[in-house]
Amino acid sequence: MLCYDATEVYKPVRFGIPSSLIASVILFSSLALYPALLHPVGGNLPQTSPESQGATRTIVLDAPHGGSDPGARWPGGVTEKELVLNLTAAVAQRLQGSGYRVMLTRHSDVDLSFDERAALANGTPHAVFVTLHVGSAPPDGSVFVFYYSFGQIADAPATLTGLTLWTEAQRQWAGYSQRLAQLLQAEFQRTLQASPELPTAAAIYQLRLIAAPAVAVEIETRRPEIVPGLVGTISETLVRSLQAFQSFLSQPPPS
Amino acid sequence: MSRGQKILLIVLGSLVVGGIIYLAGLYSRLQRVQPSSMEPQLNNFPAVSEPLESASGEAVRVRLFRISAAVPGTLEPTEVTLHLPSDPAHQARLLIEALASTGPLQQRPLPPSTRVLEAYALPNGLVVVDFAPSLLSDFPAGILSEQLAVESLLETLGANLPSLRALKILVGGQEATTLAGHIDLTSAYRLTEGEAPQASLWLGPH
Repeated sequence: MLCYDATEVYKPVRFGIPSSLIASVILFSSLALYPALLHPVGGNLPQTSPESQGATRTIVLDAPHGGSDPGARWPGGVTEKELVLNLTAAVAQRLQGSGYRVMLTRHSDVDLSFDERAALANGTPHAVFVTLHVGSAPPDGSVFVFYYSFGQIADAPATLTGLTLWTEAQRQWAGYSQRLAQLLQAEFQRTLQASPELPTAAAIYQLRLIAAPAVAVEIETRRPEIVPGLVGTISETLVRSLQAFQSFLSQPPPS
Repeated sequence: MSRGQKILLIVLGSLVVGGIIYLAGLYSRLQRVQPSSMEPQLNNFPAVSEPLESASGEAVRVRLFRISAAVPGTLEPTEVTLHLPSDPAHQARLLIEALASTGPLQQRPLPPSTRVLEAYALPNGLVVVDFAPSLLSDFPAGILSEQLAVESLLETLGANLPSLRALKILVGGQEATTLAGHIDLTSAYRLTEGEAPQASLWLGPH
């Protein structure tokens, strides 16, 4: 029978150093390096920081709701999930014609989670995120633009070991989002005069997860049949606002 | 012990000391992050769960922030008289139920079926309000509707209950991600002390 002496593995193997000590050094070195591995710029969000945001030519266009979540409903069985699916597809086509790269969060009647939608935006460098909604609140025929405001939130920012938490992703982009929302709202007010002049600060959960300039646009109407007719207005407003937004990207965001 | 072993032991010792210092730092950061000033201390305070009808107390004029009929998409204050007890949690509950159950339907920021299951007021000024799950199903879909509802709660509680500073909304005893698919309910909100809506909110066409 072949036997091994268990002490054999502990014998000095190189330069008189026991292998157990080598293993210990490797272990401790790994532990010492562990925090550094967790501290990349931007934390766990593997993309651009506001300072490095270049020209925005990519738009992540979100059609909210879908699947078992119909969103808003109108008489006759019209649902928001269908309206926004068709709307985003049509707007995407126009934007592509203007030279933008457009990524849609969904192409069919599926219900994606907030995280899945955010993951698409957060994995796309130099993008802006626009989620298109349709509601039925007055004033009829208006468009409201929203941006996330952390000013309303009472909780202290949750940070640990320098990581950017998923739910804090929007914090460093909030100023840029507000500027984009201002540009969009002003453009909408010019074309659809029932719309407000200034955008609305609102703690929209989807926007909170986005590590990029992010806004929500909501068309308010009791007549959903008018929505397809707004494709041109929305596309042109997005293009004009994004062109104006480029100049802000090189400036520090408002506090 | 050879020279190499001595050097290795010194390096190893340094790493151990460094590791201990790092872990101590990490622990102190954890201690700073975890005890948030707004963290609920639910065990020490009784809940208020009596129905609205049992309320008794001094008749006071309060301001309810309802949806404006004149300028859609905004709120406007309306003065009403309510019998409010002295307990701030009970007062908050009655004010919220008044927002849902009084005034013209079109101007109510909350659905008429809104029911508050429990309310807690904590010494740090946080009021935790637990709504019945019907709030989620009966809420009119849309960002603007949800935003006006939350804004109305913050304005109304802030204007009438100066001892309260923040609001945490629960639904069915649990934290909900959103109110009806849009507005964030994962955090507590600062009360706005009855001031005019923030500058970025639309104040209507001029």
